[in-house]
Amino acid sequence: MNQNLGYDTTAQQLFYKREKKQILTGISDVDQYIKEKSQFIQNGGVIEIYGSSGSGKSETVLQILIHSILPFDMGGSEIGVIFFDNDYKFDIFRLKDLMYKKYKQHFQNNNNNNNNNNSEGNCDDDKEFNEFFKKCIGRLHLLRCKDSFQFLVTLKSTSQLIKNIANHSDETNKEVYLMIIDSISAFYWLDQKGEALNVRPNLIWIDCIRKLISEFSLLVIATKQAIFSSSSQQQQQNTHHHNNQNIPPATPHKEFLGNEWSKLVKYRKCLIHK
Amino acid sequence: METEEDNYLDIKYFQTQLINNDIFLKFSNSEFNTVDLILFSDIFRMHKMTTVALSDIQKIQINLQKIFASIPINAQQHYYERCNMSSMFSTGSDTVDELLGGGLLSGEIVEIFGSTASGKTQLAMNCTLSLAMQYKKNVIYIDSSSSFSPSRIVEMYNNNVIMKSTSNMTDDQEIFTILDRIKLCSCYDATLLFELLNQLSLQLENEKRDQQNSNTYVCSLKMVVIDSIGTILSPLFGGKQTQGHYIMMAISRLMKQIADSFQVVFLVINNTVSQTVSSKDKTTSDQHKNEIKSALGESWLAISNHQLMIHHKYTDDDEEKRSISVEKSTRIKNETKYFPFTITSAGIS
Repeated sequence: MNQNLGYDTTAQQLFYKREKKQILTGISDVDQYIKEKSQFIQNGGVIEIYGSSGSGKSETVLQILIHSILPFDMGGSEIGVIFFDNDYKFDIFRLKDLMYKKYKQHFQNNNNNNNNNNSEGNCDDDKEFNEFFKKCIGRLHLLRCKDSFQFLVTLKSTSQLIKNIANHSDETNKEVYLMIIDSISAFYWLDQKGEALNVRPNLIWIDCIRKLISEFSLLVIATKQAIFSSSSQQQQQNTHHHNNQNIPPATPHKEFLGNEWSKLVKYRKCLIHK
Repeated sequence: METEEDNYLDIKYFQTQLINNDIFLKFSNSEFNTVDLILFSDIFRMHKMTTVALSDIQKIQINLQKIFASIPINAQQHYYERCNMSSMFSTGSDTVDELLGGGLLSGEIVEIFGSTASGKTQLAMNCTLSLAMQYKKNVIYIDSSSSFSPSRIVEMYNNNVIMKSTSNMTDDQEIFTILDRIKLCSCYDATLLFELLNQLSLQLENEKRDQQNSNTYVCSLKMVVIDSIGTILSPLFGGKQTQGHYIMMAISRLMKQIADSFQVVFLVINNTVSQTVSSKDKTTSDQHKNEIKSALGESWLAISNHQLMIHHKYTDDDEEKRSISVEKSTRIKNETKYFPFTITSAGIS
């Protein structure tokens, strides 16, 4: 309701500006799901990555992030990304390392494909890579929240941020199509006890995310830590739930963020630590 | 649940953001007397209750959002800041440095865990000495089990100096200044730890604000050692579950915030628990029985950036084998390697 007060775009602007894009993540099973569900591209939604600590959630998220910010000619999506680093764990140097590997790999493949060409694109050129890296991370916008309240307020103002980025988009700075939240469960215990707030944080952030998704048809990737340990199972399992179906009982997943959240989640990838 | 203490979100602290006094009074006389209520209530209802114009309410919301929302930074800028502002500190041991990919990076939380007498405190003291001696930085050592020993620091220092300079004359003055840089806090329970960290956070905040008289202790504080977090926090669990988790998470949030905004290294020492197989899945596996995990459970695992495990094998008095490995990390990726080390009179090598 609050957002409807200002008329900031006309329908025509909206029509032209936000073309519906199919955003892939580079993670095969997630991509398959996105390709299958055409309504997902239209409406956006939440993809949840669930697992205990050390199962590779943050690593998976980094893979998706790299896939999103890489340029088209390297197989990426070349889109803007908002990254909520609620656990203060995002490591830019790790990102750089991974990007460097991708970058090198790309040039090696290229050289193999047309190996009779003299390899003028010297992939070992660190300077060139640094330029490339800077260009790519220019598409990434980081947000760090220290507590639940800040997270709420920030989520509420994210809509404005996305609009601002869209207005200033240029070659390096692309429109935001993806929002990553690492992790969504960071404030769980704090919310349980209830900080000195008069509002229920749990309901509000879900509401904020829902609004953002419907406004921008955003793809949201959220990691959720398995805070409550369940019986250990050794294989990787994926849970689909379309149309708000109940979760099959066989999965190791345990929902603790409430029903409202599981309604938003379109696809859940469960990682199991070996 | 309701506490009597002052709510920091009370709108009386944000009068300037409320455009004018008249509106402030209207808000405080109605039920919208805290920032969170103003930000997250329906604005039409607010309009009805307070008779403040809709456009003003929106302005107020935007003003308040500006204060409380975290500021988005572009990753480019973040990268520059990381490259220029953060620094790497040696742990004083080549092995551990190699394991950590160079040393302790400021702004991170490093957790060390291992069984009793595996050398956790020794490693922590080694790092403490290294920071105080090599980098001339200040260290706060929060001690829960009176395990910090200044004479051990002196011993390590003496042996280090003798090894390096070959002159066996040690300067008393220097070791005193080094010891002066290390501040000890005894802390035996979680509430006290929270208070300590809160105070530290406020001190650092003040320091950041007026940098003119930056001669105080905290301005060159670069490391906080907590030895050991397991001892302090584990009594919390058992009774009412959520309460214990709440305090633990509140402490860890505070740690993260201090580490990140003031570029301080947190070196946290944790105990171990042996994982017991619950009676339900006895059939699944028996090899899990002797597995050693860090204490404090699953929620705690999300806290540290790097988790190092010390392995200790003890056969008889002459033969001790210690090695250290990365259990979990956001940056370093040599998780299977074990780096052996020994504890000598000069520290860890």
